[in-house]
Amino acid sequence: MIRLLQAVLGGLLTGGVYALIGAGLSLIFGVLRVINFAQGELVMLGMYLTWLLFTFLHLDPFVSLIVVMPVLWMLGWALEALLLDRMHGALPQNQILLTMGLGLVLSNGAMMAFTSDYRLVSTTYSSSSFMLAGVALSQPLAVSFVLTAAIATALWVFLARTDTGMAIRATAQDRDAAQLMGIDVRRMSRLAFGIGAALAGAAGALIAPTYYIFPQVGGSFTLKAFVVVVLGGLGSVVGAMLGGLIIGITESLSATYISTELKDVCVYSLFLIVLIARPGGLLGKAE
Amino acid sequence: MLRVESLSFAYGDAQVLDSVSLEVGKGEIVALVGANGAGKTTLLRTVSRLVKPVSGKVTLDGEDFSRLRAHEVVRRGLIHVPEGRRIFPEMTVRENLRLGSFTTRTDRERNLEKAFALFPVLLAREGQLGGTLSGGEQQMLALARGLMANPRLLLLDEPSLGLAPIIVKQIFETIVAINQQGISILLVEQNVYQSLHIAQRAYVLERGRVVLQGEGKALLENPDVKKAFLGA
Amino acid sequence: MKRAWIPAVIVAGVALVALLPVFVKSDYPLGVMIGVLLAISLGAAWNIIGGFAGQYSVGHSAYFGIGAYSIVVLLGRGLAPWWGALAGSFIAAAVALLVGSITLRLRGAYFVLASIAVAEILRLLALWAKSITNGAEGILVGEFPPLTLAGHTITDFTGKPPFFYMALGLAVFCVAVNAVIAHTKLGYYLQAIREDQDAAWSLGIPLSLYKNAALLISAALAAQAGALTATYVSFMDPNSMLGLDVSVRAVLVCILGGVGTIWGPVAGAIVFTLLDEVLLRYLTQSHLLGLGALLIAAILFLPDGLMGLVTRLRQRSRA
Repeated sequence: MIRLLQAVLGGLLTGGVYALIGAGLSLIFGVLRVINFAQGELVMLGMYLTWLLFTFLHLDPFVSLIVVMPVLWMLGWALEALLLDRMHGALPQNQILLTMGLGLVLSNGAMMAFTSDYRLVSTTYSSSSFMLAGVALSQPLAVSFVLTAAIATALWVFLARTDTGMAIRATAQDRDAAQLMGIDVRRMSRLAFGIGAALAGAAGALIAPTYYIFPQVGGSFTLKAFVVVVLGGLGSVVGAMLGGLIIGITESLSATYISTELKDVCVYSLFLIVLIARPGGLLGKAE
Repeated sequence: MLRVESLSFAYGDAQVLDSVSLEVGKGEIVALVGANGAGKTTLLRTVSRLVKPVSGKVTLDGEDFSRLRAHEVVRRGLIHVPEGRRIFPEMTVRENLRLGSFTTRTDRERNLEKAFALFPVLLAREGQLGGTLSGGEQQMLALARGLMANPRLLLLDEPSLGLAPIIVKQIFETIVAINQQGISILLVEQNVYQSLHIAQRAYVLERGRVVLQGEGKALLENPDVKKAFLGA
Repeated sequence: MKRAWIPAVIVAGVALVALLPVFVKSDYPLGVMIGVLLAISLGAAWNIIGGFAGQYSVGHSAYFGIGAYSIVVLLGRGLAPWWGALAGSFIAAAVALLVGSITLRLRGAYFVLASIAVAEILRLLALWAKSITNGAEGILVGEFPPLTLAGHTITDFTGKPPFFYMALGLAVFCVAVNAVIAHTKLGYYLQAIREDQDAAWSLGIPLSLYKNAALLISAALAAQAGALTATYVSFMDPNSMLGLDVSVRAVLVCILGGVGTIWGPVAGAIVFTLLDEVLLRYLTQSHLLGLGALLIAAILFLPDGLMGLVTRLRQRSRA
């Protein structure tokens, strides 16, 4: 029983990070109709940025969020303006390949800049844990979960309550109609990509204390983010949040009860099953 | 106030608009009628800059639109209520209206009151998602959403399409009421009889060209119009 | 026929390439040529499902890897490489049939994602099944038995020329399969499906039959490319044979050359391999940086690939 609880709670904590990455991916897809295959690489950049700040300025990884998020936001904005803006209306497969190329450039660029050595952000609390209901939970993961929840709430309020947030949603729902409301949809695309990148960067900063940092780390996050997003329904930010938690728990349960090496096989199998049985996502309407 | 001068548009090799010229004066209702595929919707989309013309010019009170993008036209007071209403389906009625006033935030509350006064049914449905409204309600929401942006000129594309006769009557009455507030209207319609009735002037579009123009009531008596559109 | 000279030119070209090892004795240029030929094979294999049928699989490493593992693992258990390669194609085709029947009904981005997930599952399983694949440590490929004909040893597979001829044969075969498909009913139907699935369906074209057939052929050929690559490189591990890089390479070769054209994979493979050689020299392990930049540039500036550029130039010179 304790083993089950341990698995579920542990999975929930990592799932929060997946939720954040997935929410960014979903937001970008909703507005631009582009699946960003470089999303994991943006997480990787967030991790390296956090490592730089920690190593050279001794900035706490959780505090570094206030630097990492704006920097990634600007990067996302610039990438949209330089690359994706020109791809509007192009074949979806070409858009996918474009972001794949971007991912290769980012990960190999990181390899040139930082070599392929594993980096660590070893804080005093990196391996400390605390007990909750008889279950040992990682302290940094718990802190990151709380921060994830705060960021997710802020995102929700922004999208649901502010004029700009609503304009982003309107652009996602009907691009032409949004223009007729006086919304600059190209600006909204930039904004959405910027926010998506900032969320990926935030996830990178939040997991930096508990993960190895290396140039290729992004690939697995990209794949996880797809799974999260398809589970929650492409384009649905709330769905992505839920999808992230489900994936975190699936991963942790299969690691506990099947095999650590096969946990991702279970995640991708679940993904294929959902993709085929409910292509609109667990929450979405069947298409 | 609106001048369209020899506007042309083509999809690839297919000429959709062939040097169309028309004008809408201040305070006028001008109807644009024609069969399916005559290019009416494309004309409106070109005027509101959703698509760019191959050649020709659109001006509003003398200002050239050639370099404007669609969202900038809205700030000039030209509001396009598109075909098929294009309500944001996953937003509530109130959110849809709020987006209508994206460029006119300071007047939002006042405009909201006016919109609810004109369409009381929207007040009753304000928390409902746009996609769940009936066709008539969606059309009213689309009109109300357009009015939220303080229009000086409204482009209405097929506001009566697919609606029950009693609702159609109501929509046309509302269009006249909106016009009486001093808002000019360019009305694209398949319901030729009703629109020529309320329009001061009208243009008949056929395969991308203006083939007839004149006063609305006069066109109603025109034998060609009668034969083509009124089944006489 | 005014274009009757084309087959003659092709035969002459292949013959000229086949004579290369007679004149080129140093290993490096031969190695690059083998790289080009293997890239042609993989690209041409992908072109059938991705190019003609328009189903962008980004998981062709699955079939490539199945071919590679089949030949090497079976060779280790004493099965002759010819049978191992054949077995690889059969296994790849069987997997393609299973995968295709499930994922080919998905459209656009969903199909892309599913294809990646399948390849990733196979890669993770290869890492896990250490008793067969030796996991992440990989396998050193064993010695090839010499090829004999009526008691005479034709080749004992030392040095590069034997691999050069096998790669040339495979590349010619893969391109020939593309050409045959392009000029038969299968090719026309696949292109109809690519242009508009719904329209193709309403014309009575059985979508899933033809899409599955295309994936099956494509997978069987990709397995051959994998089998030959593994034996030529003589070392394999799950990441190099089943990783996303392989899938991206297959797509990139076609994008560069021209998706859905017969000569696209050939042109793309030449440009890609030569550029990658240069990049490997200057960027060493970060050479994929150049690959990514190339991909971005190709999509932004050459959306129809090199063959598209050729067509455009030809039209301009005619006009």
